[in-house]
Amino acid sequence: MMIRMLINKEISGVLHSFRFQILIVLTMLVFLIAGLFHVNSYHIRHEGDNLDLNKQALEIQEHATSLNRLATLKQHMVRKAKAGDVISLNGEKGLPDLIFYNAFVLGESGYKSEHRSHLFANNDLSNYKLNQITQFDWAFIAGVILSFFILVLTYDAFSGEKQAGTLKLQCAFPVSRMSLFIAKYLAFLLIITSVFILGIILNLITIKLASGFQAEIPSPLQIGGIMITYMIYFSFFILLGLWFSSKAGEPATSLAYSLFTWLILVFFLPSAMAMLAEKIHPIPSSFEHNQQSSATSGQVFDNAPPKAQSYGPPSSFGGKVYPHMELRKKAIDEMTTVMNEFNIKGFNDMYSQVKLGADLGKISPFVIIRSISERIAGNGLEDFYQDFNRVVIHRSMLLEFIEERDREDPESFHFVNSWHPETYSSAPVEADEIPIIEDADPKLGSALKDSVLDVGILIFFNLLVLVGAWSGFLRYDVR
Amino acid sequence: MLQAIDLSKRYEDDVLALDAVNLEIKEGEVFCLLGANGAGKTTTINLFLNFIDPSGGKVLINGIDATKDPLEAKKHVSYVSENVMLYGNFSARQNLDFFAKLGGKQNLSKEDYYRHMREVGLQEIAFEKKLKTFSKGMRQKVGLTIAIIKDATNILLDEPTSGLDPKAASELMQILHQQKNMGKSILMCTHDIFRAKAIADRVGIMKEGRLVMVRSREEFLEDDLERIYMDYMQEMSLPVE
Repeated sequence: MMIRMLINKEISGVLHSFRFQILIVLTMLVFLIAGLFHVNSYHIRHEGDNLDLNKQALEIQEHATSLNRLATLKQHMVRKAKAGDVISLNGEKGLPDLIFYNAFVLGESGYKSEHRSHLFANNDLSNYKLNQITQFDWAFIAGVILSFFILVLTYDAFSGEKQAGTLKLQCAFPVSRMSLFIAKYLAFLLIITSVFILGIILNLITIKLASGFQAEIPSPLQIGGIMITYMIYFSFFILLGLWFSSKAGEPATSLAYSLFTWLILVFFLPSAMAMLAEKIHPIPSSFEHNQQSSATSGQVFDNAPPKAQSYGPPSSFGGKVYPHMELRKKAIDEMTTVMNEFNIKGFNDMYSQVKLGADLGKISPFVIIRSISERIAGNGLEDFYQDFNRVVIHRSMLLEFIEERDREDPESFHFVNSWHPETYSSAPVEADEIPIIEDADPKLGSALKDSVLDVGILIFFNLLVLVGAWSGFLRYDVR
Repeated sequence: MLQAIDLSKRYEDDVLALDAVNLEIKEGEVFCLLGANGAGKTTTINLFLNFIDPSGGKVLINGIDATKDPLEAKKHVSYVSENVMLYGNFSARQNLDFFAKLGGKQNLSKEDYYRHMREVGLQEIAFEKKLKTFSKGMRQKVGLTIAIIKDATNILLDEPTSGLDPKAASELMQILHQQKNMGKSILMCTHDIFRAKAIADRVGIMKEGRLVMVRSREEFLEDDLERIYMDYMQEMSLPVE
């Protein structure tokens, strides 16, 4: 009863403050603009995806008339625009969401996309930066903007009341410090959570209206998962604000402490840990990777027996199988295998660096909440890894299909390789028999399961600041 | 009843703010503590309210040790500070409602609050106005109303007339007189010898943390309180009474 009354007073006090009124207007404005940005980005990505995928489906149909044409058809895997993108979009910006391949080669370079991060794009001279905050999504709004607002609201929770004399008067009543502390904490948690919920509702309404009800929105389960984890995140910053407020005698001092710590947690630590990951686990840029890949695979071919290298294409032999073709196929296969292995290693190195940066960054609650958001959105590090694996699996399935069908063709020379289509079957195949790449199916359950450790760390951080805030307020001189 | 028994307070910077003070204020008695700044008056009140812990001795409120059982002790004491601030964004009535509930008065109506505010002489037009628009005198009246509504058997006042105009100070004294007649024990720390003479049943003079003199109303009316006060202030050291 007492705590409820204290909470009501706190909420009423905050809602009446000019500071809060400014903050809520700004927050709603940010959510509104984010909704408009999302619709624009969604349309571009969604329409682009559909065009590309339709084009690819047509090309597969066309190439089904000839097995060897199908084998060398460039296909692509693209991370489709989806409902969860509004939660967190491409937080792991260094990892590709567009991968080109055919039945032989994985991760072909040389293509450009304005809206995609293309695996081993030739023009990419730098590699991944974990700390990039370029997306205007919920993870950014709640993780950066709302955490700042929380500190602006809480920095004088105790020091301001002390300065005003109201804390002293309250302490002259039979009310425990624990009640005062809990009431303030719960009041701020309720206020910020309500602001977040209102912002999300406004954001989703904006998305629906601005897209003419075309754009999908996250599922209630995704939103529920986000709400719970962000409440834990908000709780951390509320307790941090209360801690500084109970440590400083003057509100100005606690404001300075709060803002400095916010800068460290939200900007400095994620950047510093990403830079550290780059130092600990250096990887070449995509441009350098492509150069090394060509050189390494070229070296393999150069080391092949001279007969494999010097006989040239079969066309020079009237389209017939010529002497040493087997040697040449072997050299081409070895070169392709080395190139694929190099590209897989390149992706794994990129993934490892990103993961190291993300893991090191977990000393910052912001990095933790961003990772959780990405997983719930289906844009987590693990999702990128799965996407790459889907391509690896699809490529090998395609090659198996080509080789199997080639064996059935009595007119084929059966030298299936990536360079000389005339050395294997050109018979037609049924389009619906061609293996297709499986659609990614992000599962919220596994995303939440994968986030258990992160949530645990976030709760641990909460406990740390709770101890600081609580012990600080117990010793706080209310006079 | 308010009691201080061998009450001492030494701060972390080793300043001895209170030195074995003994004090007892009975029901229906007004005790005024006089003394210069830093004499230990506010420290005494802070100890009664458990804002700080004593270094020695104890404070009892209606026989309850305020250090050992502060929440129970605080049920029996009201407090009016030198500069009542309250919540500026709340109206006078909203402030009263909050602090009344904090003091355990859950069922007071708007009319009850209005009646109490009329009793302390607050103008009706101010009842629903935000506190941030109030003068110091008006805020002191709201602070006093909070103390009255709590209806505790003891009242602590720390320089309540400081900064008030003579009329407001006189009105405040009248209200305190009513409270005294209702059997409340009142401890008032003040520099205002004139008001102390008007209302006190006993006065005590504090100097450098010690209660150096206590006079009953008859004694200080017979003598010249101002002269006694000045004499004590000028003397460097005096035996404890």
